[in-house]
Amino acid sequence: MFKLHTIVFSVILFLGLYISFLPNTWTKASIFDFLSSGDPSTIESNESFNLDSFSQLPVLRGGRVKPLDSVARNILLVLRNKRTALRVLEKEESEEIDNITQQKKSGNSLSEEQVDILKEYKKLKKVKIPQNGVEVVAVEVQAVDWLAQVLFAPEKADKLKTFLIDHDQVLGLLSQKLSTNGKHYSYEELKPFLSNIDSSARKAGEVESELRDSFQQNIIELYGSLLIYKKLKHSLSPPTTPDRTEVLKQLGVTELVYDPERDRAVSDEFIRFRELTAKLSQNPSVVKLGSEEFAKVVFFVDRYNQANLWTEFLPIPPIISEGDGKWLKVTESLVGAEPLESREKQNMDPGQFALILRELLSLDRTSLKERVEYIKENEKLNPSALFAVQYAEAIKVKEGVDPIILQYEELALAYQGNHFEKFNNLVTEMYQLITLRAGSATSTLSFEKTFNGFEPFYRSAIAYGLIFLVASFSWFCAALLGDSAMVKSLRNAAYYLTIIVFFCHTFGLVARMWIEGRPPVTNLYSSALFIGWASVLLCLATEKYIRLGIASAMGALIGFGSLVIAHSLSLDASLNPTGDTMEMMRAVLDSNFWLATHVVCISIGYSTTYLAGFLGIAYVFYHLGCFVFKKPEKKLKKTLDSMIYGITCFSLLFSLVGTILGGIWADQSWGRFWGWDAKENGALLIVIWNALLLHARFSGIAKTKGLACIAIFGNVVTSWSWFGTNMLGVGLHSYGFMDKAFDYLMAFIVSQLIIIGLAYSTPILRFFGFGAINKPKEEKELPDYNSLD
Amino acid sequence: MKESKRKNSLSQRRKNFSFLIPFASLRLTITLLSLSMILIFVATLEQVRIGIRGALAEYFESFYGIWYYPEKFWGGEYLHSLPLPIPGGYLLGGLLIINLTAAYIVRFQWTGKKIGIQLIHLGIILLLVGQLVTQAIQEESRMTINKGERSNYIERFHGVELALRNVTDPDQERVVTIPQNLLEKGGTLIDQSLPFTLKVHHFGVNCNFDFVAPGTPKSKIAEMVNRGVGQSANLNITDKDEDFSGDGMNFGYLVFELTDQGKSLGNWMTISHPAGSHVWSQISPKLADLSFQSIRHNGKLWGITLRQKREYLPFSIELLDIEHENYQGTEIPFNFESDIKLHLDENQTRRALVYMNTPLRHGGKTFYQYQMNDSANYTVFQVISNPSWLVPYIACILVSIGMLWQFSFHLFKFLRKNSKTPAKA
Repeated sequence: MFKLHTIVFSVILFLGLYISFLPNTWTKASIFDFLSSGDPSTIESNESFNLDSFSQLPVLRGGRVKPLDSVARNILLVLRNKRTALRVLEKEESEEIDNITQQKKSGNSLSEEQVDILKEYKKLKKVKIPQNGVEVVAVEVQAVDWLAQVLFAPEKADKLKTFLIDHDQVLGLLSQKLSTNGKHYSYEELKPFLSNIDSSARKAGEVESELRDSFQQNIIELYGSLLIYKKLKHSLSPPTTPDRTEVLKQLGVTELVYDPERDRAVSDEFIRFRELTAKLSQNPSVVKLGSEEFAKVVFFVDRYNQANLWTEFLPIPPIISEGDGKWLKVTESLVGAEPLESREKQNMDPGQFALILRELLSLDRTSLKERVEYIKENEKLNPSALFAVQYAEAIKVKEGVDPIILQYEELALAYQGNHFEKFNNLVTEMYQLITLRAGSATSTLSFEKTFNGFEPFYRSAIAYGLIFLVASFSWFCAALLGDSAMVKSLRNAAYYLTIIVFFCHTFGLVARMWIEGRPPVTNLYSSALFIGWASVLLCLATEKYIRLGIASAMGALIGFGSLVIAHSLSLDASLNPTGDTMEMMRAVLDSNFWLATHVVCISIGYSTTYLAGFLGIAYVFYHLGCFVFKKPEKKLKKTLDSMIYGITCFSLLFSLVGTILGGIWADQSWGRFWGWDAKENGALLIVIWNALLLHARFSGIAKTKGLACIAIFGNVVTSWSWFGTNMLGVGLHSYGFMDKAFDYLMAFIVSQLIIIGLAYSTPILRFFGFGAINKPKEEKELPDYNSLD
Repeated sequence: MKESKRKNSLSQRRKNFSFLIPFASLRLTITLLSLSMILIFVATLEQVRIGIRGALAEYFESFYGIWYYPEKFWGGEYLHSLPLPIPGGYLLGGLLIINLTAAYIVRFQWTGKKIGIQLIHLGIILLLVGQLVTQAIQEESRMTINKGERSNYIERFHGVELALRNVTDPDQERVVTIPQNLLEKGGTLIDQSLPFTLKVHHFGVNCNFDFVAPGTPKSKIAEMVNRGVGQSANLNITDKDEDFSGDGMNFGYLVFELTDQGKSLGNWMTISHPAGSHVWSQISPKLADLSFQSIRHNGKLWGITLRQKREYLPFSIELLDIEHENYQGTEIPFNFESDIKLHLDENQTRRALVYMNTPLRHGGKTFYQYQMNDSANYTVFQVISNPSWLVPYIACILVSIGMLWQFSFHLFKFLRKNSKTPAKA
């Protein structure tokens, strides 16, 4: 016979496993996905696009080689604060589905096709959104599906709800209302207002960033989102020139530029450009001002230089023979990049430019390359020479059109024509070619793609919520039933559940470290992940010995809170403009040794201070509960007292050593140990506060309640140091400036102060008739506080 | 037996140094720690208003500072006018050192069991003393080197000097420098190696300057200038308060008169550029001469410059190459690197690379990569001399050992005590 508490115990543990590792309502992926090979070379079926493999194609964005899957998810995170887009069902579609469901309800048999449609539809996640005042059904579009449409079928993508706009004044600018049209918009819906958005954003941009109001911030964010979207669209196919037939005719290039009616793809234009440059490199004497041939080349180089600006990621992998490991944009692979800003061209001497270019083109390729290197090194201030170098390279050094460009175009054609097999074969082929050319940079890509889908931190956050519920329920049971088997198994369940979730959280951290090749903390986002993790670890250790459910609950609370904070940090546009939380490190921070020591120590210092603070909160509520229900404070008081004390010792150790290590890092890189920088001061505040807590305990000035309140104020100090200092916008560490979080920070600080106030509210409560009438007898002095002296 | 002997030694000390007992109190420690919290918090907030250097001068490097509640904050319009005295860094640091030292003598037991506590506090004393010393003597300068050239001097970020160079003989240059404090005092300056006397009319640490059309009224200071750049470029200047903010630029200025045996040679104006006087020519050709205003007197050629205070080094640094890389497709810097050659004397050199997190340490000075101009081919090192740089390292080791000792002692005790609890429950 199973007893109730054993069943509860097993159910809770299974629930933990389900949330942490198995496919569930929140994420479809599971831990087993990591076991399957995930190699895109295997084609499973040719009845649909193999977007799974497509999503693994490597590109370079934000300085890091990553799979298209990450690009899609990160960009959607910026545009929509979600990792999916929305598609409003067409009228016919929803009618059909309604029809089928009606038929099914009335007991009619369905055709096979209808069953399939219904099945597919049931799989999709649905949201109801208002559209012109009427509620309509929209289905979620997965990130990679969305990306494929943006890249290959932009007219379809423009209809998807891609942008999140929830600021009423911004909506007013678009003459929309939140109540009638919701907060989800497609590019097509925004298109008529582009010039309005542009001019408002420009005006807002003139205001200093600290002084912008919420409308100005939001309009700038929307502008940025639109820019990203537009760039993304053109990342594989450069924008085609608007109609300027006159200009084209004058230059004689009408026949050369891309014409959708005549050409199969834009690369036809690239090939014609190559023919032009081939002629020129054979006959350099044509290079002079006023020459028709040369004017054509100038036209195209200008055109491609312009196109270089319109790209969100770099799709062309390094050319192995170049050996420089440089990824390129589509048009960059044709003409290179401008050596200086475009306006520097005004300072160019056309005569000298043509002279140098002629001289360069008359050399053979090897000596041309040498000469180019020489000029790049020695003529940095001479725009004529530098631009001549770009032209010479575009004309003579670069050859043909990169096969990747052609393949991506074929891919687009296959996608538009619904040729599944062709698409899938091409993706496989391209994956092999790109990874070969990209070399070792792609070793973690398919893992990263699976990791994206697994979302370990999302899972952990939910599971931490569950732990907190279980632990709180155990106190509830304890209050009702006293020490029973149920209470015990609930507490054990909370403990083992924490272990399970901890594995999931750890897995996420380690996976990020592997993908990045960095220690766990590299930016504010990852510091939140790590601080939560370290707190939970410490709680596990505490709960192992003191199985009261308190450490579990507080650990879960901090774990949950820090993961929520991490998530909102990843949404902050000022902090994370690309949507990628694994960004590259600025040169000064680029030191794995110090990131692994100083930063980790400081983060552990933060998490332990928070833990002590939350235990303080637990004590305050216990204290109040005992007071109101007129029960004496039992052993728990002493236990909490020593827990706060012990954890603060840890905290002081880590924050002090971390702070000193930071000083040493500063000494090593800047020659000074301490610079009174805002973040340094923040860390010092934590050290002093922890020291103060310990000394207050040693001296006996603070008893348990005082200690708890000092620990709670530690939460305020730590939050100030963690976020507040970044909000000042001064100092060396202001790499993470955020403005939106200020209100949340203030709310948290006020809540902590209220709890401290509550701790000392017993006289007021007594006045209103709560609690014991007589002051409870002072307990015997706690153990010898001066023992450490 | 042994234990009681040690206790006796403590009571002996308490007897001998009874006057120290009030200074060793834990209540004092807690008060001082709380006040330091306030000091650090206020001074951090103030950095937004007056910059790091301003906060340093007002709060950390002083005995007390006066704080006005910021007007922008909640209730600021009422509280702003209230001056609040904040104890300064020197006061609190000094008192903490006294408190700690006193505790050492009359409160700590000098026993092995308590050695952790003693080590921690010794480390803290070292840190405090080290920081006080550093704060008092640390100097921050910079060195700018063009690619392919050598430099043998460093310039202070703050503080100027007037340099009068006799360049008549191209092989042998003679320089007379007048430090800022003499210029601030004003009056007439006579130096034996100068053939004229210099009378300071106006000196200031910062100014606004501007070209004006001839005939436009100028400030009183500028009005009297009748020689040199001030006159030829028709410059107008107005005095300005020193800017303490992190990236604040302070243009020191000086209006002076040269006289030879009572006969006036004219009034000149000179301005110092905070980034170095070589920058003047980049700003405007009209101002180029501010880096060297020539004066011919008695057949000798003199050049006058108001420049950042210089210190000449017994060695020189040659810049061979610079490198500045960004991550691909981003504006995020990946590397700043200067390839240099250190000339110790004429025939002894060594190569070195200076890049992020890897400064050059030589001759008691640390040179670290500060700025770089890729297209103009020069690099700027920040140069810091801090004789007490080793102290934090020692302190760090002491504190770490002490803490590990003390806390692992307690942790083991805790674990021993609690390892039985689950079994019992």
